[in-house]
Amino acid sequence: MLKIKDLKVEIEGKEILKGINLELKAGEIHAIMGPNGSGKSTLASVIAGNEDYTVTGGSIEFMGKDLLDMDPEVRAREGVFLAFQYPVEIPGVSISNFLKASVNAIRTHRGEGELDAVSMLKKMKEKMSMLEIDPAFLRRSLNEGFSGGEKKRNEILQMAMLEPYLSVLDETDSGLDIDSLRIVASGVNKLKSKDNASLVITHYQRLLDHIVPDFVHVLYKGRIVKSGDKSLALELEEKGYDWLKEDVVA
Amino acid sequence: MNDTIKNTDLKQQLVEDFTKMESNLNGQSKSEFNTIRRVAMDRFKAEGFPVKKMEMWKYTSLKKLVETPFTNFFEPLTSTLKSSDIAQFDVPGLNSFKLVFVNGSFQPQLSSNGTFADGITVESLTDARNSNSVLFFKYFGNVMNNHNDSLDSLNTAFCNEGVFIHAAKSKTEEQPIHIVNIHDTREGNVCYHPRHLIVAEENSEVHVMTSNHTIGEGEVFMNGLIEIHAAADAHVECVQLQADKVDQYIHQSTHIKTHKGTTVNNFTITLSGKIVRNNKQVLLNQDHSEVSLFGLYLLNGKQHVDNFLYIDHAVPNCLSNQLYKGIMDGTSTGVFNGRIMVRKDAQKTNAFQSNNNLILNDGATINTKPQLEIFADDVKCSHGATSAQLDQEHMFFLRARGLSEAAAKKMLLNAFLSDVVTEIKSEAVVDYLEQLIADKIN
Repeated sequence: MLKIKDLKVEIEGKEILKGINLELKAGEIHAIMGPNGSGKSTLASVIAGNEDYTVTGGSIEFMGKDLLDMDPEVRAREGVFLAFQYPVEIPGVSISNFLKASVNAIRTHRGEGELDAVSMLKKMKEKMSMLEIDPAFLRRSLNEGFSGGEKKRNEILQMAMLEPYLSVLDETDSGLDIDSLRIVASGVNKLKSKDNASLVITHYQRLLDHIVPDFVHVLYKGRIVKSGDKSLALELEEKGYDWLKEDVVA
Repeated sequence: MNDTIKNTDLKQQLVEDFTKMESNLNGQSKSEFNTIRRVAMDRFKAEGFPVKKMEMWKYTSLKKLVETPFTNFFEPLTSTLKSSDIAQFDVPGLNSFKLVFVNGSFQPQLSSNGTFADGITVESLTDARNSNSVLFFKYFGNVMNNHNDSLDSLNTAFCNEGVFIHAAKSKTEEQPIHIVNIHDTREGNVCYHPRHLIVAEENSEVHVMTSNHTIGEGEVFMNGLIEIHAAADAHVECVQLQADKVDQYIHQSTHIKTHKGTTVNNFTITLSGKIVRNNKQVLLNQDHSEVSLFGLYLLNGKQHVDNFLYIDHAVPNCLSNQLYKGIMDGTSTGVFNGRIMVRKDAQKTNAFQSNNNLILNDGATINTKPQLEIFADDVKCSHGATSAQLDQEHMFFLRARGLSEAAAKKMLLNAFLSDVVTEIKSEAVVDYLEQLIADKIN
């Protein structure tokens, strides 16, 4: 589904990713771990199409197409979803209007036609109930005055509404209390299918107790320095990142 | 002020028109009403059109206006326009009393002939002056304070027709009164001076909306003035819509005077105009009164809009609130000048002011100037002005959810302006304004 080859990325002249190779197949969950500043969020932003970053080398192929050639909205319509680490607050844009516009943009692109108001509302309520979000939120402005946990649940609500093929969760666990973490993780697990894949970016192992990855990769100084199965996450939890840093230096 | 006198052709013409008008009065030139007008004309004659050298007019030049030839309308006329010509200016879904003026002259045949609620009087200024003269002279010009500029004097000199709205004690008119000002420029450029007087007696309530529309190709100078006199516990809502299909020269003054427990909400929505100056003069005259001024301007091309606000907290325990938001594209220019005066006795004043601007183009400009003058020591006052470009982080977020760049931009612009009109009582008016705003954003 996703093939990243020798990806090199810089921001304001500073190289952040120095040759990433990664392949995700449908039905898989991959975790990317690594210390602060290793380039995890950069990778997520580049997949979503954030124009603040400059790709200086390599390629990303998504379902057979050149992802780097697409505008951010086309990526979203093709089925790429980024759950933001810091979801923005937009006063004046209600969640329901935003979800309508978003879902219909994606459906139209896929030739499915716009969803009628009744079906849209039904779908929103269904997904909100799964994520234990009060339906009154639909009338509220996007993330305005939301707690950290509410913002992250709202991101997963959008993911549930948009039904992407590839979900990139950028530190979705940061700022979450244990209850929100459980709700968010169970939402992600319910959305998992043989046709979609997830890239879970996290600093800590605790999210991976709930969302169990098939593969774990360690990103350090812009490179994937180690890959393994879920046991690698446990090893990192136990030993920290220092032993890997030594490996890299050596 | 002698250095500000400008003997322009337009000024000269207006002075001559006034003399002509007076000579047609057949002996009534010494009437109380005409004396008020003559004093006003003398003042205009002395001061002339405002110029940029004056601090209060620093950012707005009337040079192009005074160089444009106009026919000045001040006599009653019967328009040849039909109801079908002006139906397009109705607010969809709004049950309102429609009062239609063409070039300043009231057109009963084009207006709705519904019955107003008990205790609500709506009549032309001429009728009010003749049949209701005690009431008329009690309030006419009385609301205006000392800060009126020469264009207000010009309005008084030529105001002849307009609406007198009177709500008697404890009477309410739920249905909005919609004053439709038609500029009929099919036979050339038009200048006129509409004057409306709204008097809400104790504990009464009225809702008024004004809108301006051009029919024809010519240019317009509309020099309007609305006086709002709200007695104790009265509630007045006044929505002023400037959404003409043609950009014109508009000077619109609104003078508001409150009494104990009054609330006045004023909304000024500017989507059109070549040069627009909205002058608000508020006198919080008795304690526990509240005035909110909401403004929205959405400009492109070479449009110029100057919002000039003066709020005078003369007494304690009053509240004033200003929320003005603007979006500027093209090479448009916006001006926000909000002055709050809190006098020595006006303790426990709450005065809030906020002016937020989005600049969409490097060629567009906003000049924003908050001024607070506080002479009391126990007050809560705040002011804030922002001017920014569209938030790129917000844009990226919406695009990452599948919205096109254009759709994302539209959503953010509508959202930015959304809280300005929502306080309007009539949902039909809110829907209509939101639609007009969305159309212009498109």
